Amino acid sequence: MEVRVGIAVNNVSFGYGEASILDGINLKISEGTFSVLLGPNGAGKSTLLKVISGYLKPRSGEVLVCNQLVHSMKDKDRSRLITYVAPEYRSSFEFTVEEAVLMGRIAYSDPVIARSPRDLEAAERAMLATKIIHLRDRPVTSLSSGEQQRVQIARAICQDPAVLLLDEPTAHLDMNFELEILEILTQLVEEGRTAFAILHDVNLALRYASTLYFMKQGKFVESIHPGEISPGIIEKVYGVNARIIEDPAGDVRCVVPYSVARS
Amino acid sequence: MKGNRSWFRTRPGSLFVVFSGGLFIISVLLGLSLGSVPIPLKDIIEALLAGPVTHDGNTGHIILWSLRFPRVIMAFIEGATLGVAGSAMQGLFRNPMADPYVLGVSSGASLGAVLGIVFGAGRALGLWALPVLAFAGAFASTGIVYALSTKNGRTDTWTLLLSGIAVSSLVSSLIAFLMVFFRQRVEEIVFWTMGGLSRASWKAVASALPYAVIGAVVLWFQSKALNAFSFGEEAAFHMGVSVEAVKRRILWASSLTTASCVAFTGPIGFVGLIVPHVVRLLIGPDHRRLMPVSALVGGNALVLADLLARTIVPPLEIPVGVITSLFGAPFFLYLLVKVRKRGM
Repeated sequence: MEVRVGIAVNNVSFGYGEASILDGINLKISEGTFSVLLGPNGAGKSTLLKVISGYLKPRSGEVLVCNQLVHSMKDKDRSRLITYVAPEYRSSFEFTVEEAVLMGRIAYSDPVIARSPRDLEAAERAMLATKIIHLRDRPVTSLSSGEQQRVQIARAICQDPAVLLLDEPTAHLDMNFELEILEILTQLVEEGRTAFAILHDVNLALRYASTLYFMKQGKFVESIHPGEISPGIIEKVYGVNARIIEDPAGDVRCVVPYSVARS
Repeated sequence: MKGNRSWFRTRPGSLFVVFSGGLFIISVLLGLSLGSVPIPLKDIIEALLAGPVTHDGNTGHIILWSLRFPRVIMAFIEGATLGVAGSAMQGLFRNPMADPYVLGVSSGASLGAVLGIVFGAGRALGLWALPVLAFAGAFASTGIVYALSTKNGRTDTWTLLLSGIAVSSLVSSLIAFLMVFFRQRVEEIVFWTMGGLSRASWKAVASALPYAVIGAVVLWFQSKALNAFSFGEEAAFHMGVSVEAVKRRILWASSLTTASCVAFTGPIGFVGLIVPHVVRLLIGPDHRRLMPVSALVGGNALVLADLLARTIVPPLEIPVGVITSLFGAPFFLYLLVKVRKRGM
């Protein structure tokens, strides 16, 4: 069977003024996979995600999502194909959770003012999947960061895109919600969607992702499958000495960092 | 049904809308009935049935048709416009301090009118001189602020807000400068810049109404986009909003509709700031209902404020802007304190 490409980044560079943030990035992610982007702070991970989402225009190179050039698509068409969830979104006004999730239907709304039953249904399903249905009438401004994060993921699900980009989707979450979000993502991927997420935690990435991309100073330094993780990679990317151990209960590898590498 | 559940999300919210609808009828009737010559309700109905009369016949009918009807309608149009434009501006800037005048509409209009007054443009252009110049001034200042804040097709909202403030204060000082040089015109200038509805006429209504209606519809159609802006422009972009196009539509639609009213009445403050706030507190932030309800409430507020302005100390007429601030500010402060106590 032919593997279709979900995200293709061809020789993309990006920067502000003189400063270069992304430097000749190439990337190919197959449809229906979960890939994770890792790297130290300031490596350009969020910038890469926003270039892929169409929000930032690259200096050179091109981005294709499901074989369509992201930067020349109409806003509504693009948003039905791909969306992005930031680590933090704060609402200025007291929208209810349901209203915030329904914002994911803007790309679909042909009636300018009204909402279709299909919109309401999609929001309902997204709230159920992210376990926020009990919060539906609460103002988003009264929620904890973790709850707000789940609202944004629900909004993204409600948008029904083929490709989801997530910038630290578990940043504010407790261990249980962290795993819950990753399981939701796994399920979305099983439905045939492509997910590409920045994660902080290498071990979560090793457990859930099919491919790990490591970035440093605007470049990819390594792309591996979870089984290929090695102390050398961790040292190269993070400048840290680490041991790799096997989870006794399964075939998942874990990284145990123990000291800063002296070079 | 579920679709309706979100429409008026609280019981007090829907009661408030019903109350405003009732208040609309009452305030319009009071506005028509009271004044230097009180006209009983019976005569108002008669006058309405008799159709427009401008000469001969009943004096009450003439007062109604040539003075009070246009005045009350103009007040409602302007109040409604300020309510809608204020909601849109606050939504766009994600800032409760924003109002329809942020792009310098009021100061630009004032400068246009003041130039007309000091150079006696009335002699050359007649009755239309001041409104046309005021509208041009508002248009020019909006254009300057917009141009200063737009680069490569992207308009930065912070630059917009700041350059709006800068241009407004520059224009205000130009007006002060002109007042020093043309002392004999100071009274006329002050009268114009304080704003009032005494200049309302059928012609003013006919000129402002199309702008108000078209502008309000354009703004209302941006409701869902404005809701998305609550999470920031980046979030709105990722929800499929054409951020720059929406911003342009909102800025121009609200500035031009506001300008078309201000050109006839002079700047009327506070309505565009306070009305959207009050309505948002009562029925929630969803612009799909915030805008129409703000139109209703803003219209009512200005009809009543104008009624007070011309009846509170007869035979003098107090500028309506004074009334809106005098009554609006304490009410607004009361609401602020109450909301803070509720811990929101």
